[in-house]
Amino acid sequence: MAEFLGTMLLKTGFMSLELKHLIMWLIGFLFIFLAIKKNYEPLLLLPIGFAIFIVNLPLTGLMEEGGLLRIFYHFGLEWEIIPPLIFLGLGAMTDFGPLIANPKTLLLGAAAQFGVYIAFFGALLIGFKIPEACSIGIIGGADGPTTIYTTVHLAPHLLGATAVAAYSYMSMVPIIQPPIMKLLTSKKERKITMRQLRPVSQLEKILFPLAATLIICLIVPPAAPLMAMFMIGNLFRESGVVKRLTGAAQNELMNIVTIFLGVSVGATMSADSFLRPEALLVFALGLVAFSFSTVGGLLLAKLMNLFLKEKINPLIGAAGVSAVPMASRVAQKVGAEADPKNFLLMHAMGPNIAGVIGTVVAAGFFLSMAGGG
Amino acid sequence: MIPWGQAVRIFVFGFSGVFITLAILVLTILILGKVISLFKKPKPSVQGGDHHG
Repeated sequence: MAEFLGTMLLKTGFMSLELKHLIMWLIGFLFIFLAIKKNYEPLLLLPIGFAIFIVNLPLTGLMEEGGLLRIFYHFGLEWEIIPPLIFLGLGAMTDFGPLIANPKTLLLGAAAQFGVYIAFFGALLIGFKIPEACSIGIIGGADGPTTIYTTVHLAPHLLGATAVAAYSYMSMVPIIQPPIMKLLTSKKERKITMRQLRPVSQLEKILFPLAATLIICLIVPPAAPLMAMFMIGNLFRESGVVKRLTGAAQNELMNIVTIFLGVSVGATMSADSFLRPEALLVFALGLVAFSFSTVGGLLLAKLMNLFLKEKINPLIGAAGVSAVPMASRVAQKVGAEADPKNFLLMHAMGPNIAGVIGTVVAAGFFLSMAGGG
Repeated sequence: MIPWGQAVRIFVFGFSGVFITLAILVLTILILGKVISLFKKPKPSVQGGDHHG
């Protein structure tokens, strides 16, 4: 009997618990805390946090061959199903009106890729290989699905660290960006009011996704899975004739895919793969990337103001990092602190959406040139 | 050993490629806007113009 009990005890997880598991539980609980208490990207941080917790329960085999989370991860992320589906939903939720009304803000989305390349060089200097450096750099785009897509192609062994870094920094936009924005702009600049955007016709909104798909997919074909899904979702929305499909892409599909995305990303964070100096370096470089992307957008907006008759508020340049719509809200909030009557939200949506497109294009170039495309 | 040649190529072509791609998109939006406005029917003017009665 005692022998039987001893054997049974060995088969429980208690006997296999190690300090590394407890550390990972704490990280998981931190994500859950941030989601519930601080409301930071709860749709993602909550499933990610719980998945971190369960994947670090010993002997469950959830991420071993045939394990439940392994199946989610394999078909969702390794097969690259989830990132394009997320983009389909995002497209169906996105209004390109502010971008079409003020197209020069697209350039701010390009400038906000600055941090991507700073982190790329930083990673190389630290000792990462080129494909790994590309995957780390793309965190600066603050776009989770694009980070996952790039990493799966170029450095799958870094997927857990890059994906979690991207989503963590996306959720921390309201903390990371404002100090940089205030440091690089004067109060006078933050007070700049911008003219109300012109109304955009439905025809323009229908033609934009077609034109953007054509141009981007011809220039950077590896970006096609993400860009094409983004634009078809938007075409559903703007055509106005497939309301059921638009609704499904915006709601049911997006919600289902978000659950699988969060769980699959969290599942990559087992103690053995995450508690390594390499992963911590990825986190540090991700922060560098994200900060310099904010700087890039701000500085280009200031530079453009030297030549523009109608000035733009440089704060909207910071929204050039993707993180839609959080980065726009931050631009609005920081602008309102300088002048409570200044409404920057819609103006910031232009560069914010341009940031999504810019990050996908940057990822496409990485994939073309670093061997993944 | 860092492959600087490839790294610099990725930076130069990649970063400028992002700008060029988005600049082409800017031009496309502007051209589409112009073309659409050309085909729009002019709205009847309330003041001035042809008044009959």
